[in-house]
Amino acid sequence: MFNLIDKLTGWMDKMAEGSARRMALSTGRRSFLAKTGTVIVGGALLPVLPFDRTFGAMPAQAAEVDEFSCEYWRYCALDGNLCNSCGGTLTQCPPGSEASKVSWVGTCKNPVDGKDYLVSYNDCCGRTECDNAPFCNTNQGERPGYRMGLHNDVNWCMANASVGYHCTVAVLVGLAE
Amino acid sequence: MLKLTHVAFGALLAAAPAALAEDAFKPEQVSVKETIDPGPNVFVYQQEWRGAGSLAIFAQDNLKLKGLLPTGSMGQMLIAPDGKTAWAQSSYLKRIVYGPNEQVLQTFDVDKLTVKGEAILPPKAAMALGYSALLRLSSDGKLIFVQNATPAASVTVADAATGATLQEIPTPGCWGIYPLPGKSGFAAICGDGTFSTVTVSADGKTASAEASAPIFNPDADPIFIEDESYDGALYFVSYKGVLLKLDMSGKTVAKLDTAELTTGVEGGWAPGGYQLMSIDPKIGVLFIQMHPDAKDGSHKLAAQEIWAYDLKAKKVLSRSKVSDISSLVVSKSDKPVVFGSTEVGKLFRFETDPAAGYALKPAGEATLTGFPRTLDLVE
Repeated sequence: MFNLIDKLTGWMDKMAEGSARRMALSTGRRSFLAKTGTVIVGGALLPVLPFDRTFGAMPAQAAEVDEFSCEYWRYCALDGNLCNSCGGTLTQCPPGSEASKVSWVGTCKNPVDGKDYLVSYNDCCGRTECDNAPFCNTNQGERPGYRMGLHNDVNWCMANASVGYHCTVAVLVGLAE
Repeated sequence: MLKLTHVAFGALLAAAPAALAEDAFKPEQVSVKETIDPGPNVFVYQQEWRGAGSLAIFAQDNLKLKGLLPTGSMGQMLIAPDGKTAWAQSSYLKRIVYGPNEQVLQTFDVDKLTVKGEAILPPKAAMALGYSALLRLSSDGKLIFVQNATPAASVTVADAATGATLQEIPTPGCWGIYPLPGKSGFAAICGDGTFSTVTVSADGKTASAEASAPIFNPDADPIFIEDESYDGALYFVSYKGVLLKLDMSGKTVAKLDTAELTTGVEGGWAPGGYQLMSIDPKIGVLFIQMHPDAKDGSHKLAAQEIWAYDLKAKKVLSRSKVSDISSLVVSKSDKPVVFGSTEVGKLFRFETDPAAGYALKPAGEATLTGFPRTLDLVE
């Protein structure tokens, strides 16, 4: 069943190019999936779905440990495109790009060990915005620029030689007290 | 097919009497329209992060697109109070997404849609999503304030007439630019919950700053940086929906009053979005974007409703269902018109019904591009 969900999620990720990306931006990933799911359930795909529920009811645990899902626990304060879907990994920028010299930080709870971790969201820089990847906008604990270290509405490539925004990685840098 | 058509066309011309051909066809001349159509405008900054953004100008009455002004990427827009001049701060990277970055303050003639001036800014201007508080005009119209982030915060002061940089003012830990009424300078919101009042000399070249007493709690209930002025005060709203009324006229910013927007309302409603509220001063009504089931992290969600809130009576007058509005602006009128942008490329126009608590009624839409998060209008 999860393979099917993965397939559908992957298909929706492809849809996330262009205007759907912007919808996710404004409505949040969970809401985006639920809405898209509603459309699909109401349409031609209904007979091939082997289960009777919307995607919004997907078990939280599965998404929270899937690093390609916006609901992955490390992404709790994210606002950006996933580098692991742009040729990089969870903690590595894609080849040819630069890791940002500065970053914002989120505090996210790992559902496996129940601990709160400090997550550094580094942007990767100097390449075209990678809209091929899922765009995630979760924003837990996010604050405006008067708390700059918690702010994600600025380009964190700002201190690099090349400032074009490419994608974002999520690096564990410590345990929250 | 093309050749055949040409042959046939040539044969037709050869066969037609010369006099008849001259009477039947008058070649047109290509030209450039000199000015945009007259009438009040709505300005939308269509921000881009991978190339040129643009400042789009629409007719207020029917949302006809009158034209675009060109900017670089990751910029901000600013409109003069008379609507005749516009400015933009944006980034011009040598190779669009890499290479040296030149940050430019452009000055535009709105009627002619021309670039009147360009000034190179210190390479510190914030490359941020569109927020009106990040590029501002002083209340006397003589200075432009540019929000910087390196990520250390500061403000570049530029001459509004020439664009020339006059000074850079450090504003550590503070963000947003709120021009002081009746004098040169601005206030900024600080991370400890205070405001900093920065007074700038008449020539724009020196400044001094003074901190206020705590105004809000940035941990428990932070405020959005969007501001609205009304009745001599400046209004902000918190993530949880507390409206703050501030006096900006003194030596330091002072809190005059607070009001809870959602008192007695079920459903966990809270404000959300980017340019999330706008006041029509003629009727003293605030229009604000609201979403239900609010939680930590939901503060950027687009509106599911727009509430009309009476600032004097402190009560919600109406709640109108909308789809995905993330920024809005309202006209200054007894019968206000609300313009709202979405992040799926739409600009909506809503008329309001004074008899129904200024409830919104859809009355037109237009196409937007990029990330259209800042809107402005001049009557």
